[in-house]
Amino acid sequence: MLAEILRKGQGTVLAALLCLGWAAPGRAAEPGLAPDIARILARGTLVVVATNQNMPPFFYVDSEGRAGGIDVEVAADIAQRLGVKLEYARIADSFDDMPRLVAERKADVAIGYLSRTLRRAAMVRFTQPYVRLRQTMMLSRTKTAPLFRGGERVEVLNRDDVVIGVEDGSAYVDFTAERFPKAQLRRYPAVDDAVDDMLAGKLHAVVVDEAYSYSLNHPIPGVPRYKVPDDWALYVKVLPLKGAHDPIAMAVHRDDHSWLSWLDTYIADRQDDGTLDRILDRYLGASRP
Amino acid sequence: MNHLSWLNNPWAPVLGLLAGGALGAWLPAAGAALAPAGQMYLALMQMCVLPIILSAVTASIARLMRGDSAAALPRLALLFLCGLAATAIAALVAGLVLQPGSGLDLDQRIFLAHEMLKREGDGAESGGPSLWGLVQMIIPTNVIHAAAEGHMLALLLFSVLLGLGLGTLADGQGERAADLMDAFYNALIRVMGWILLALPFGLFALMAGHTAQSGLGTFLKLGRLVGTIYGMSALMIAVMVALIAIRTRIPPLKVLGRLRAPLFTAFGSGSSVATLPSALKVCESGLGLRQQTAQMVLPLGVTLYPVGNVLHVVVASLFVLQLYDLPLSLQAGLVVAVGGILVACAMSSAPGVASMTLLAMLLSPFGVPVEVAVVLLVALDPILDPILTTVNVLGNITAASMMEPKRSETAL
Repeated sequence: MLAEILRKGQGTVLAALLCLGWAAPGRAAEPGLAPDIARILARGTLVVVATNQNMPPFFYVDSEGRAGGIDVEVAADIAQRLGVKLEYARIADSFDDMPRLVAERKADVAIGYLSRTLRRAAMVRFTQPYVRLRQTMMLSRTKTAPLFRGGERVEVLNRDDVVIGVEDGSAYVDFTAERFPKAQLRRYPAVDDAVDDMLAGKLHAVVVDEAYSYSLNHPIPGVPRYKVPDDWALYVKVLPLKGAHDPIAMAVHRDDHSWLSWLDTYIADRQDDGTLDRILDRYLGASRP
Repeated sequence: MNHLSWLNNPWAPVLGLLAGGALGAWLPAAGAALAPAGQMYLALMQMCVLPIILSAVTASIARLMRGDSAAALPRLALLFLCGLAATAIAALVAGLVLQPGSGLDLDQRIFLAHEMLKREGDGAESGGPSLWGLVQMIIPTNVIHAAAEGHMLALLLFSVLLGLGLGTLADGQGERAADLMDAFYNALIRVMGWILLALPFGLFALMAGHTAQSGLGTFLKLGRLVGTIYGMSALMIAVMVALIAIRTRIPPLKVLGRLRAPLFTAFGSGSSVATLPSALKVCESGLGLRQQTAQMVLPLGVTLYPVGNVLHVVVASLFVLQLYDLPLSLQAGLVVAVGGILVACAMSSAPGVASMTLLAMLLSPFGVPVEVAVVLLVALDPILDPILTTVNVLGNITAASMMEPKRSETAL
């Protein structure tokens, strides 16, 4: 099924690239319109880059082929308010790929579970965060028990015989290296693989965001689930990290100043009128701090 | 207490217990509606207990000091220690033989995983356990506050010290104070007698509420663990009844018959503290123990001699060790046994699972994720509490009968 989506995705990309190249006239430009926004309006489609894998609860395609998730709802709303069609370009192989593709003008914006980091901010411009996730540790219960000795102070894991898994090409490589400089970092193509290795007793912990651990607990019916065994919670403890946030933001090309402030205005307004909170509550539970 | 006899048919509490259990099982809605009434009755029983413990322990210790039987205290400590150690070893052996935690199928593991998710919640990281907190449970800065919080160990320490102080006062001061304590004690026991008149109705409501919400699913899912604990409890009850029968020279079946009020109260209420007054009464009137003995041993034993809790903690710890395929070294076995005793005492002395940090400190070096044991203890509580409280109360009564001087000596 994934292959099918990918093929569909590539078709979209082709269409999107054509649009980007020629800027076929979609709507008559109003005088005084900022050129970066006028470009999108003129084309008549908003091209949004996303990863080629399902990432519930932010971005997924369910068993009936419908796209859904936090990012999809937000992107659809943005497209509607601009009065253009929404095109998804599912071409990013990793999270780090998304800012690269935006910087190469392969899409207008990245709305895809993307963490705002300094490294990425050197390539693209970030909006203000539309979600502020907590960084979360998934801990092997048996391997960390002798270190914790009944407590839960994660600082005890900062030692050279502790192995922590992270998803390669994600912001968590940077986050984890900064918080646990002494621990050994092992990179995995996907978080699922890291969790697998932890269940096999090879890792002490995996650092993820709270949306990942939340969606393990609360699978959405009909949506492909992460490949983690059902009894994982017996072997793995979930611990939100105090004071460690993961700001999820949209990214645009560094020259698109007006487009960036349009998106910032959009986020601020939707935060004010509670639309964003309603979407987040639906996907991440109402008990977020 | 002759007014008891016409209001209280000997089998009325049993009938109330069974009828309540049946009602809750068949009509959960009716059972749930009765639950507040049961809780109210439980509160009424517990209301008198703190002053009873204070007055009983103080008066009996003071009298011990004035008499020539001051050696009874060390003897009692030794008896408690031996009984707890024997229970821990028996539970360890049973856990090793029956292996309740090995070879769980996927269904059972998923069930446990869901319990973990449900109960661990979304708590952020917390600081480590502190020994200081445990010390504060025993030595409080404010004994009234500690008693109000339900910290029994603190109250007991204070009562024992007060008793020792009264026992050494000269000029009859100590005697007058001890007599006053005794008057309080006897008055409260009389009040409890009135409250216990409603025991059949109280047990009816308690059991109805209990069976209405108890997890029969848990029972089936973790059958071998629950079976191990129930089997061991039955064995311990048999042994303890035999011990009481030997000490008091009353036939075993008659012992059981006379103890039925405290035992059924324990089973129905799940609270050994609430059962204390009823146990005190039966020890004196039913088993013919001296008031002095019962008054000293039972209130101390409620906190310091919880054999049922020892069984529970030791078997649950072994369950977790087996669940994660952790090797059980001699050292780990020893820690499980000793830790089981300490944690059991801490559990019966303070409400909540704060006492579990002790278990965590002891067992985590062996790689035991203690939070799983804690969740297990909490999840299984509704099913295991009745039988374990019964074992606690019976163990306590057994200790009292063991402390009693032999019949031939007292028959003066």
